[in-house]
Amino acid sequence: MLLIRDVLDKQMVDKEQNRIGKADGIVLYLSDGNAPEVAFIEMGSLTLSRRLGRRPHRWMLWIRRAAGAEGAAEIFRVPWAKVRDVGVDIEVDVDRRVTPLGRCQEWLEQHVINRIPGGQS
Amino acid sequence: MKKLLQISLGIVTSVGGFIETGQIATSAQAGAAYGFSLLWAIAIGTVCLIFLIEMSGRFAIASHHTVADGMRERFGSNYFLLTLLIVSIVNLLVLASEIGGVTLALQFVSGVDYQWWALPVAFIVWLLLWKGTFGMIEDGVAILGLVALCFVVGVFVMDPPWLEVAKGLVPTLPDKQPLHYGFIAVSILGAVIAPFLFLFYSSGAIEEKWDKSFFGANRVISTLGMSFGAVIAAAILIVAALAYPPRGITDIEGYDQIAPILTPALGKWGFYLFAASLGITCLGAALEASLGQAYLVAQGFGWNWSEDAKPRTNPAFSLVYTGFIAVAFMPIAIGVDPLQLTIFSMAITALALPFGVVPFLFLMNDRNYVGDHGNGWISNTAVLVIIGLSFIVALITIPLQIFGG
Repeated sequence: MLLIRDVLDKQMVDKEQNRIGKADGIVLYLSDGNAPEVAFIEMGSLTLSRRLGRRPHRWMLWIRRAAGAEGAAEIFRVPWAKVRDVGVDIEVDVDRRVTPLGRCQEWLEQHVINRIPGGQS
Repeated sequence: MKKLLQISLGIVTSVGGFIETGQIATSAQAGAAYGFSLLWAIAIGTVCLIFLIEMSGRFAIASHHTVADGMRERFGSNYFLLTLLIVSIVNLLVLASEIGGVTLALQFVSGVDYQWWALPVAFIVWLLLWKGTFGMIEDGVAILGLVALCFVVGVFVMDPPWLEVAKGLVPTLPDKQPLHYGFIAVSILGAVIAPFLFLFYSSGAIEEKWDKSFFGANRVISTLGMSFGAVIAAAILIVAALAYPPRGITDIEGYDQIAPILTPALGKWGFYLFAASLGITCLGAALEASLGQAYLVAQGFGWNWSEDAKPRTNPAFSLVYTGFIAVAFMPIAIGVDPLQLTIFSMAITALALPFGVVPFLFLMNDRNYVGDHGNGWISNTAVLVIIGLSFIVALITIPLQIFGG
């Protein structure tokens, strides 16, 4: 498996094949004398903006704080042990409601969709 | 049998995406200014479009990825964000033009100025997406869109000199105004090769779970569907070439000059048929452009996307098209001329094409994605040459057209 080709930027799905976001970043674990190990897959806008550059990253932090997001500077990480399969998609054993996408969807539903007439149906 | 039904539906649907304000405006201008001599631009654009649409279907079948997925995965998030930005600007201009087309159609039948229709039209587009199931909307618009066949009828009623028409299929340089000629040629190319068509087509292939048995059907749908659309676009150009020059009109300055395009052929009914064709096809294209944008964003960031995603189950997806429509109706509402906006948008589309198409060609030649179903040299060369040339001509003529008046 090649990390950049086969993991980074791939579609992530949960056990029910719901799309839960992309593999936005990879975290390696380095220790003396051992080969580097894949520790986590990172997901979310913070990781994405950091890949774009320092300034976009700061903007994203600012936006998240301004929106009053809980744990605004917290990066969502999926431990590699939770990865069940890497194929066309990466299947992971994660509750989709706790992913950045899941939380964002919930926030949007409560704060935006429910205020638009007909949004509930 | 089921496949046959799917193929015919695919063909009809492609007409719905193909004919819209871009085709109508650019073909009418070309016909009025240069007779049949720009027919080749429609032909070349269609060849390129057939190649690209066939590729995006083949890509989806062979790799189980949509085009947006593939771009993000192969070229990384930063390049994807750049492409997303460029395609979004193009889509926004196209959507604004389509909304303009519907508002004009309403102006022609009601007499009320187009500006006032911008908000109601945007609202209806939004409401159809918010409440409707997309399959229903798509088939409905596709079937109603067949009214655009009235242009083909118009051609036969007017009985053009067919030999002259055939000569128009051979690319030639003009004897007057080469810059304007080049500008109209790239606008035609931009109108034919609309980016939302690919977003749509590959998404449809994934959603309908096309498997390896669909390679043939994909080829048939892309070829016949796009050719069918091209025949209508060519018909508009031919009707314009027959209707305008005898009346001394060679430069079309507004849509009110395009509105009577069918009256020499079909009389009073021609006017209403034109308004109906413009309104319905632009409404269909507006729906497809809005939804195409939501697909692109959702696929690029890994959200759930589906034709029938309800706002409550997928808020982010619904809010993308909502916000998109909310921005796109503004140019028309503040009174930007729909014809100028359309022609300009189509030329910008031609300018933006390489940014999406060149990486896509890389994907189509990458065995990790398409395996043994990669491109041959003919399709690679044809697409590269057409896209490259139209980019260069667009780069030269757009600034001159804007600043040179």
